[in-house]
Amino acid sequence: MLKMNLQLFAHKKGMGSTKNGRDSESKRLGAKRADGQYITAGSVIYKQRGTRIHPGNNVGKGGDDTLYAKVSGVLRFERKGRDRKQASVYPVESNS
Amino acid sequence: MIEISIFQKDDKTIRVKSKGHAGYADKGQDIVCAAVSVLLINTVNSLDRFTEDEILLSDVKSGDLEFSFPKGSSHDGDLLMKSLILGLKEIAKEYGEEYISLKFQEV
Repeated sequence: MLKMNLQLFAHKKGMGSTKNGRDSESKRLGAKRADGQYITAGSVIYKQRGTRIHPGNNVGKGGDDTLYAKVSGVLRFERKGRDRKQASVYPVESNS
Repeated sequence: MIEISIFQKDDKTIRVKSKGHAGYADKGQDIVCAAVSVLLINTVNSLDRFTEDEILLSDVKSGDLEFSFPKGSSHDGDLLMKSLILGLKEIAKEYGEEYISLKFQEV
């Protein structure tokens, strides 16, 4: 049986500025929510230095470039132009 | 970009060759890499666990996985391969050829 290495096809070394390891939650940069996940308004989506991920639909950018949801809905990481990425939140129509 | 070549004969997959790095994000956060990895690894493990098919597997290294059916594949093996191809196609459609490229070759 093969070991389930989920980063088998990932770059060996990090791209651009990388934050090492997975130390305490407060210092860790990167995605705080996953693609396709339902999130509530105000949730932090992505902690970053500079805009590795740009704010898309219904997503705001804080003073430290942190991305957050402006509305509740499903999070999507999307492509933006040729080589950039953006995060958007799409409200879910409630059928009540 | 992960380059995946799927070699087929009479609509049956006989070899899968996958090489490269997705480059969608840093290691540890590359969701495209993770998706492709799990599809490929789980298919190999499922073929091993749930079918009688003989699988020839290259030595798995970072960014490199290749396997083939030296004696052809059973019905179950075919089903697993169709499922793998469906998943890979959907990832390529959703995340783009920039991160994963799928090529089919008739042999």
